[in-house]
Amino acid sequence: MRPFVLRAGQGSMVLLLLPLITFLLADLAGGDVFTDADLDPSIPAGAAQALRARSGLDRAGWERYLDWVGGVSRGDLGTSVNSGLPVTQLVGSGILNTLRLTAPAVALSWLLAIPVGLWLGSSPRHVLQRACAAANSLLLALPDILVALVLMLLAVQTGWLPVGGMAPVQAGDSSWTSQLAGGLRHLAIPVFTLVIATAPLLIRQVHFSIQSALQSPAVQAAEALGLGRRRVLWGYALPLALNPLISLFGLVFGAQLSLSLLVEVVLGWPGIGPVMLQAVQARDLPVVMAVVLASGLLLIAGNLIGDLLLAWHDPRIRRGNTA
Amino acid sequence: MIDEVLLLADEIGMRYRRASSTAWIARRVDVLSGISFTLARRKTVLVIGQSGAGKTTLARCLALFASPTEGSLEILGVNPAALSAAELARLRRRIQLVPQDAAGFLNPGMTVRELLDEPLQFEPGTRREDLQERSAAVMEQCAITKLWLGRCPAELSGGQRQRVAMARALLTGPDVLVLDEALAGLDLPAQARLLNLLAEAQQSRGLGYVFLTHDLAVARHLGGEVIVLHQGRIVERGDSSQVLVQPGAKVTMELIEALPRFPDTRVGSK
Repeated sequence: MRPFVLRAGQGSMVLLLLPLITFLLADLAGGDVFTDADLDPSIPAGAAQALRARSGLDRAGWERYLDWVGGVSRGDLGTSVNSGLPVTQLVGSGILNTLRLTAPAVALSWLLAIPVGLWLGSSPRHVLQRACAAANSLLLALPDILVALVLMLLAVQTGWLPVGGMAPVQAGDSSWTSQLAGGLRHLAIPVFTLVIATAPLLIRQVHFSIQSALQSPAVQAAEALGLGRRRVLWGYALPLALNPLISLFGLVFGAQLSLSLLVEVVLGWPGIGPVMLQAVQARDLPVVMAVVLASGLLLIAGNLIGDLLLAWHDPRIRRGNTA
Repeated sequence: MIDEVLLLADEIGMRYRRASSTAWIARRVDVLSGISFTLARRKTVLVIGQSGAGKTTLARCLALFASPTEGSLEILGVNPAALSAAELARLRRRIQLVPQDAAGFLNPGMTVRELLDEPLQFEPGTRREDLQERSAAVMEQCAITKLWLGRCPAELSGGQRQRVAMARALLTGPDVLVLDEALAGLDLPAQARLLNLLAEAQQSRGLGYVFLTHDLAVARHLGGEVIVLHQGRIVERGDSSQVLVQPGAKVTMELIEALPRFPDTRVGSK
């Protein structure tokens, strides 16, 4: 139990420091949402200053930060200075859409990586396996943004899949099945991009973990019990190889979350990515802070889930004994 | 009456090809060469030799973890190289290896209870009561207490792990045990307990042992046919009472001379 309490404590520290560092960096960079108005000759002099005063942006930095912290403790993330909408509403729907994208991408990446990695790791000297391992390394070397652009181009050229947005334009008589099908078709390209960007890394990791587990004395001992190859592979080698893979789960979740921000912007998915981009461009600090806080929260949750899975799988970790 | 032959090694050898960055052709390394011996039921073959003599490679070949590149091996009258995968899997249960380091050999994610139940799960024809009876008998023989059952291998001492490894090997109902430095690294009381256990199991279960060690004190205690290995070859063989008392090969003499001698510190001694 102690390791989880410690990890939860570390997570809380990160959540406390993350907004503070973001705020300090934004303050150091200077400017705010009304800076453009200062430079626009068509806007009367002093108008921007009046707007600043109305939004409370003329106060000292520490005052604004404490005000923000007070709001967060009451569950109020403030109001977007740019759009006038509550930040909770703006970021909340974005996060939900980001999770709709990353959750199937994470699941698909693992569902693909485990059988393929097992297959590659179980008989690595076969020609077909070697060719697949080489193709996987090639995919690993491809830049993620290039993958997104190529898939987008392919979709536009062929017209097979929609590009941009999250759901088809609603027709009055559309049934829930056609809505679901339309949603899945919109999800295909962004999810596929995330899977192509992440799965090769996971496949490689599963491949080498299985290869090393198969050579371990514990697996040889299982073979000595007279077990078949398949049972040894799934029942012994895979559980032995799981620890580093579970540790990777939290990291991959974080990496896919970061990557999804880019994919969302490029492919027009209405997640947290476009919200973040607009907020940064407009210097809309309450929205930027909320996005950073939410991303941090998701990342910590991903790592905690990884830690819990690790403890569930390995009794040595559960009992705090890693000797 | 001729004892039943459990294991027959005929000129077995192990050859590796070691790639070298300086040579064009991979170098041939003979790790084992011309090893022949016979193991009968209730008998022990002691393989002694210094570190690097090829003992572990021989143990791996005998326990079917590696296939010899030369010669032939017969276990219970069967050549493992001629068996199908299913037949080989069945034969593997009859010859078990107890390694020097049981820590790696026992699945770290399993409890002692799971580790001891595991070998019994693959006997579909046997009644549950018989399996439980066998498990209890082996646990008693190996002095495994119920307190250990919930523990993982990492929570046991070296001697306790070694006894669990021995119990696992015995639970498969083997005919041959290959003990590769199985007592090395244990304190003297733990060694004595395991040696007694081995002697008892040999008589009660009719086991044959191939005992690989560099510890001549242990070899003397066990007795039986001795094979002295040096650089992968047999340099001397014979009965333990003869080889370990009047050694013929230089390597055997070195091993005997290396035995620790304690000065007599009793009162009145000089």
